[in-house]
Parts: sequence; C-alpha cells; structure tokens
Amino acid sequence: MTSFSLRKVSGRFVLASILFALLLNLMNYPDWFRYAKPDWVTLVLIYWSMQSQPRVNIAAAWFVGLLLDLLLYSLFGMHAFSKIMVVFFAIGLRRYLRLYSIWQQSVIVLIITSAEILVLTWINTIYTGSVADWYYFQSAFMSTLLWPVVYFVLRKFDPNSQIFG
Amino acid sequence: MTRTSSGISFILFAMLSVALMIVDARSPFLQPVRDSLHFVNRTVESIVALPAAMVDVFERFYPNAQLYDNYQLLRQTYAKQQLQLQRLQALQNENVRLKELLKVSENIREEVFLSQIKNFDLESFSRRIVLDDGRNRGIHLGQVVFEPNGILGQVSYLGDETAVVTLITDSGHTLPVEVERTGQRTLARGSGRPNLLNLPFIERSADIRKDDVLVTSGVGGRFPAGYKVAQVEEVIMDSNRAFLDVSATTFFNIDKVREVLLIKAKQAMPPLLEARGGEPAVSPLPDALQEYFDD
Repeated sequence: MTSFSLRKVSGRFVLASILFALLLNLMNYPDWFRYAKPDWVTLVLIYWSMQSQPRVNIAAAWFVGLLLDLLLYSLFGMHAFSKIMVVFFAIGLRRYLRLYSIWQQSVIVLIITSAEILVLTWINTIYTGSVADWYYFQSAFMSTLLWPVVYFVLRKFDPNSQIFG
Repeated sequence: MTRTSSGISFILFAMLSVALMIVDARSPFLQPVRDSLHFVNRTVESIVALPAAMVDVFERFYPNAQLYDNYQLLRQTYAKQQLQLQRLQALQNENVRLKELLKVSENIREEVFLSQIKNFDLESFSRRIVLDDGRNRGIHLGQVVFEPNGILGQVSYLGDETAVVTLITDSGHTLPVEVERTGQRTLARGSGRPNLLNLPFIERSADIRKDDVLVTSGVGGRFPAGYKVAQVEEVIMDSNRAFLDVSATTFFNIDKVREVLLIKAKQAMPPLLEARGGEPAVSPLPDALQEYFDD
C-alpha cells in the first residue's frame, strides 16, 4: 500500500443500505415483538451521518422520510420531519460519535431514537388526539440494542475502516 | 456538510414538512399524490410479503395438502357463521327486553365476504391493517369491517385493490355502543392501546359493572346494531370527577386477527326469526365439507 487516499463508499451502496433498512422496517414481526420494532432506517441514517464526510444530507433524509410516510399510510411529512431531525442531530454530533466507544455511541443513539419517537408521538397526538403511551419507547431501546449490529455490518463495507482498523 | 449549512437545510425542510402535514391533515389535496404513487406501495408490499408467501408455498407440498385446503375452507365458513350467529343473539336479546321489533330498514339481509389481511405491519401508533381488496370488490370508504368476534373498524383509505382499515381501538375513533344488560347507550372511544376501549361518558350514578357486554347500538346509522364490541374490564370511581373511568377489552385480539369480513347490504327481507320459524338463518355447508359431517 503506497498511496493513502480515502476512498468513499459508493453512493449506490449507501442508497441500497437505506432501502434495505426500509424493507426491514416494513417487515412483519412476531406478535409479541410488535411494539419493540427497531427503526432500522434511523440506525442506518445515523451511521451514514456520522462519517467525517457524511454520506447523507438533510434533503436525502427528507425524501427517505417521505417515502416512509407513503409506505406506512401515515400523515405526509410526519416521518420526513422525524428523519431530518435524526440526521441533523447525527451530523451535528458526529465528532463525538466517531470518538466514542460503541457503548458511548449507543447512549447517543438511544437519545436520538427516543427523541424521534417523542416527536412522532407529539405529531400523532396533535393529529389524532391520542394519549401518548410509554410503551412506544420500547422501540427506542430495541433500536439502540441493534445499533452495534448495524454499525459493524456497515463498517465491513466501508473501505476507510479497513485502513484505520 | 458543515453544521451551519445542515442547520439551514433542517429549518427549511422542517418548515416544508410542517406545511405538508398541515395540508395532508386538513384537506384531501394530497390524496391524488398518494393514489398515483400507489404502485410503489404495492411493489413494496409484494416484496415484504415474499418470505411469508414462500412459507405458504412450502406448506402446500405436505402429503396432506387436501387436509390443509379443507381446513382453510372450514375456517372461513366458521368465521362467516360466527358473525351471523351474533346478529341472531342480539335480536333475541332485544325480544327478551320487550323492545319493539326493528322496522323493515333494519331487517336487511346481509351478504358477507371475507378479506385477507396482507402480510404487512404498520407502525405502532395507528393499529391500522391493510386488506387485499379494494374498489375491485366494491368496498367503499367508511365501510364497516368485521372480525368473527365483532366489529373491527372502518375503511379509512381506499385503493383499487387495497383498503386500509382504522380500528375502533385507535385513539380518536368513537363508536356508539349499548350496554347489553341495561340498554344504556353511550360512546366507546378508542384508547390507542391494543384491544382497549374507553367509555368516557358514563356518569357516576350509572349501572355498569365489570364483565358487562357492549354491543353496537346502531345510533347514527354508520355501524349496524347488535354486533358485539367489547367487555367491560374496569370501572373506577374517582370522587373528584363527574364521570366514571370505564375501560373495556374488545372481543377481538388484534394480534390474532387473520381474516376480516365485510358486509354488503342487499334488499330488505322479513325478520330472521319469523321467516324461518325460529331456526337460525345460517348458510348451508359447502359440498366439499359435507362428508365430514355425515354419519
């Protein structure tokens, strides 16, 4: 190895990973697991936002959120809003995310996913008048638990990580 | 992307999102957008359903594939008959309470058809389910959807081959019900939690207790009367408030619902009991199943 150029992960891979995460989000889960569904799209977005050159921007996150709204038959703009929030936080905090160990990263991921659920619950309350329930937050815990999986799997395909270990 | 430029993007897109949400919530303006993009929904739903479909295909290659088919047929027949029996029960109860028999408009003979729930899971907030039939089966917006154990919800979004059902347990959904035992009429509101309804308008002096059965009252004309809805779970009296805190558990378990039934109203017919001389009006078994019941 002579030249030390930083290669970027192909944009198509980023897109493919986001679309795959979308499918995972929509997949059926066993009955008892239903409220603890992790939000794969959020996790994948956080991963791509935390790169030193973030591979997703706010606009991309907005479109992903809009697509999610379409597929979930939810209010248009609801998930778009939550995803741009996730990416905004992740990009802003990426210096910390990159420095921290996987455990410390998980804390930040937990905060981001909980904030996302909080926002979604707020919007839902305004829209339907529902009363928020704490068990919706199970999903945030499950997402956080699965963060290491997403992190290490995506890292396998990241040429930069092979160089720096 | 630097922090400031992402900050500006965020504010712009956030405002755009809020504008979209307001438009979608307040007007049908975005409905055509959803309709024209519906092919995306269908594609994704097919992809997501693939694993389950593969398991189904695999199961069909068992030596007793015939048994599987008959089992499915039995399930569907059973489901239809359960629903018809419920109506009968409600009519009998009304007689016992010495109420005046319903007028002709209520004695509508109903044709029931089944619909499969697509293997598709939606987010946890709205317990909506997606059906495999839409306008092609003559389903209309607002149509009531049933489950063998009672009322499930209403069709809230309609596509050519898809329908999305909002459940009675969704927060914001209100259903006119009647307490079977006492005849008291009230409203059952969805709690947002699975299988749970709230009755927010029961005054403290009301006669209601645990295990009371709630049925639809038919008030308002949207939901037909006489179908089971839920059973009272808890009656809490709080001395500070004017109303009791009553919660009821639905007879259906949303996690176990497999097929749903929809009703097409046909022309009016004489009351079920009188016409048949007291025998329940249950449709005969399909021929394929007759062999199981001959002895």
